[in-house]
Amino acid sequence: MYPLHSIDFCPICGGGLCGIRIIGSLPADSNNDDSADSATATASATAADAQNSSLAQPHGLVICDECEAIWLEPDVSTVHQYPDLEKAASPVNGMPIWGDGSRWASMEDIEWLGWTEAVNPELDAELDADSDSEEKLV
Amino acid sequence: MNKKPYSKNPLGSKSKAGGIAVIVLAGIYSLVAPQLNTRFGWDLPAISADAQGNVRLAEKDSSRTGEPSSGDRSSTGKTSGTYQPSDSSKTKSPAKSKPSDGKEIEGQTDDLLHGLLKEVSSNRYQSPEGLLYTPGSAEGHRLNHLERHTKDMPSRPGSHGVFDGEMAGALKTIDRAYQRAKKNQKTTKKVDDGRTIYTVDMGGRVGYVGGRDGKRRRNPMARRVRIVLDGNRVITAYPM
Ligand SMILES: [Zn+2]
Repeated sequence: MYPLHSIDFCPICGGGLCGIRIIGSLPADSNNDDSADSATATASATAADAQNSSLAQPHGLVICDECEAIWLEPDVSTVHQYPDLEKAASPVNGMPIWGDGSRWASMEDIEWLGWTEAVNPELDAELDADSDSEEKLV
Repeated sequence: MNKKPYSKNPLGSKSKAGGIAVIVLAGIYSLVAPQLNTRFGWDLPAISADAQGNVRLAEKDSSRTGEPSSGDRSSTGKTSGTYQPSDSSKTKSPAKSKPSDGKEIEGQTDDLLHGLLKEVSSNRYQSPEGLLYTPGSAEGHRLNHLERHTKDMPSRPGSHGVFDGEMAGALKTIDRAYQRAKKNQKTTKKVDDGRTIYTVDMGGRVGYVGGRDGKRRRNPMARRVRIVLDGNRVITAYPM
């Protein structure tokens, strides 16, 4: 359960990866080749979008996968904040940052966010390397 | 369970009187037990009568004993807020085991998770040094997050600290580190917006460095522990 793409190591705790996480589903999520789960999530998110497009607006966050420090933009020299300890929510719209409506961003997500330049490719996950790689895909 | 507080000999001339006595005692017990539970924090079982009118001790409500229900077990634990050890057979202290009849033995309600943690309220566990492990994190519970640091993730970018001794070892090491940190023994401390980050030199091996960097360095031993806290609540901890 570690980020697919990160921008840096965490300057706060030292051991975490500052990974890019996307909150909410992209309008073009059906192009994502993740899985049927992704399609299901997209369908439900589409319904949610219809109901309240402003709250369901997808957006990116940079989150440390150890200490949970959050940056609103892909630059760890900017101000960070911490989420609620038990109900961690996006500072942008209050959606859960660890729930089903969020995920570690794929490169397609990151391109959509316009954050491609911030990615440090040396910190990319190796999807096929670990036998327990499914752990990190959430 | 050997204890049969309400069993009476049903035979002989005293059987009717005995039966009445049982009913009277059961009635008194039903009235008094809840009050005793409330006042003293006991967990006396309720009683009920079966179809034949026999008075029996009811099975304990699993949600009150801290034992996960069968429904809870089906969940992955992720984001549910419920801590589910990855290998429950290794994680409960011996006192947690139940006799074959499925009922808990009296006096064993203070069982410790991983032999160390006391459940102070639902899904909230406290260590002897006062650290709290509560729901939260991407894994749903801080203990599930901590479990990440009981095994290597060899392809995780950077370093990934792995505690020796699985969960029980990790929890003991973290408590020892926190004990040292509170005394400021070989400890560096950083405070950031309510978070406290301790780095404690333990003076000897507590685990090893895994992850991609650790693998490249042939997994050197780790002798320091980093603990990230919010008050006394553990956010994460790992060896380094
Ligand atoms: Zn961090």
